[in-house]
Amino acid sequence: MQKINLTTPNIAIASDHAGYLYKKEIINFLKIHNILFQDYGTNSEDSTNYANYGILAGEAILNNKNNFAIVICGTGLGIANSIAKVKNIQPALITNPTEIIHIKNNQNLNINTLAFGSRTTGINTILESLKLFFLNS
Amino acid sequence: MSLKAQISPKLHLITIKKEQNQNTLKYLTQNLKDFNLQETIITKHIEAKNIILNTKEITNFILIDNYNQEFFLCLSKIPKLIVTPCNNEFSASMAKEHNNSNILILSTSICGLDLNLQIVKNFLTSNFLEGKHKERIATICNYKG
Repeated sequence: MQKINLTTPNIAIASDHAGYLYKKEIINFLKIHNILFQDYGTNSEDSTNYANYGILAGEAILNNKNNFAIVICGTGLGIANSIAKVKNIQPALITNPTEIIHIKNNQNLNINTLAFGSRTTGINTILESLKLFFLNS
Repeated sequence: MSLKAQISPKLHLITIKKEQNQNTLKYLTQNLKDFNLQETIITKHIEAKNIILNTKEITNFILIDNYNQEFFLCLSKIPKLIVTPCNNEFSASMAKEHNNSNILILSTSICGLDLNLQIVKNFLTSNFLEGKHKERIATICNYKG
């Protein structure tokens, strides 16, 4: 399995309708910190099937278009289970920064996807988790 | 309707052998006495996979570890399984209502005893809503990776 190079992340980001607004906030964060990304949708708050977007982001990693994924749905559960079914994808559902410390302390888990829930986790908690994961701050 | 009446007949609690996890196991079993409980203490996450795959009856599994990531990685690759790493009551209900999951993972380093108990109760007393959620689950289950 290809190991994630966190010094040059190239992120596949995707969400369903419930995660759409958070996806926009996370994209702003990635732009501010000059982190490469590609947006795989969805592009509105219209009801949609999270599984299609999770699989799309997972396949982007599988096909070496990206080397990491961030996925968001209402609880994070549906989209995390969707992307997990794609070969070589190792997702972690994150609800607070303590879990980021855990996965960073256990590199053998080879986590290459972070999943979040927009209905369960505040945007600041998510952005703090991303800072800790990608910027070590 | 009683809590017992709403659930599937069997509840299997599986914990990684660590003091903190076993304390949670003890607390859950004390407070879920009405259920048809089975308890198993394991040392490796992969053992849970074998137990789940070899279980024939309809069963709700509650997995207990310090953090939920290892169990999730171990189980979420199995086709058709929907696995629920869970640190809050809302997700516990949604895991059944939207995701029709029968596997709940608790994190003893993130949640205290009573929060974990409430998460389990919400998980066991919620029911799948079907409709559009059935279609979404089918997308996951039919995916050929």
